Amino acid sequence: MAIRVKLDHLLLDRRLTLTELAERVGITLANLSVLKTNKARAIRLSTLDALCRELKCQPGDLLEWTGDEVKTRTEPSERV
Amino acid sequence: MKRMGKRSVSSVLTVVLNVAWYWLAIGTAITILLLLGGANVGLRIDFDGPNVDVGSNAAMSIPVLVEVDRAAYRVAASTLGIGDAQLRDLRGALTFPPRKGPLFAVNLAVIIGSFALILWVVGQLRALLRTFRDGRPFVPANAARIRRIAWAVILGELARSAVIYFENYYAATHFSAVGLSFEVRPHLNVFAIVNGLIILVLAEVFQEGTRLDEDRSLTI
Repeated sequence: MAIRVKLDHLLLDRRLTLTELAERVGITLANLSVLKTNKARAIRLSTLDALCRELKCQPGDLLEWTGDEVKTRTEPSERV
Repeated sequence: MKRMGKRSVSSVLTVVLNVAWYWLAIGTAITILLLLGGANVGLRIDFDGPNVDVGSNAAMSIPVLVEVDRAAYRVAASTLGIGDAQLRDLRGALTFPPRKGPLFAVNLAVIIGSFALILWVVGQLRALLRTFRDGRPFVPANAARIRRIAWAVILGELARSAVIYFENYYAATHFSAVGLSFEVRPHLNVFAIVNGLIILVLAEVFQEGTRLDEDRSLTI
């Protein structure tokens, strides 16, 4: 999957451990590890809401799309 | 009573299938040992399935379809005013003393093959029900198990039909009876084939269920 969860950087910045975050967010450490290691298939909005609340960040700070860049199309008159 | 988990219908069925599996396995082993030991064994193949006779009264049995000669056997009901009723589509078992030979060898192969197939199918069902008993119906292996059971039902019915046809043919070509003739006709149970197809569809449902369950478990 091309979506990456950037928990490592945020945990480092906020000086939190994975265990502490799991307790605050209310999900198991195992599930948070699944998220951190990018093995999750989907994330609930409620989980995203809790993570953003505890890490004091925006969803965009947590999620990153790492797929191929979209190529822009040029108009015929602009082609060389 | 709940259907899955401990002390459920699945638990009870798991125990029943465990007993059935061991009983069949021991029965098959004893049959093979008796045959190897030279005991008097009769191999019975009926429309409903195979069986083994042991002992001095052991008899061979093959399934037959019989047509009755109307001139030889008159059937009437005078109180109902019916003077000429007809016996049709009679089926039964032709029994005779065991004789070692090609028929014995074929029936032995059929019986051992049938027992092996039943043991294998019961083994698949045991594994399936164990996962239900443990509350994990959507493990990836279950769809494959159900698919195998479906094919066993379909191919088993085709094989059973072929065996019955062969046995009918054997009876028609080797035996004679006054006033009766032995018929040779296909005897395919279409409902068994349809059941097998339904089980195949169920396998696909389980496959989809496994996929959805995996998605759910990886949704945080």
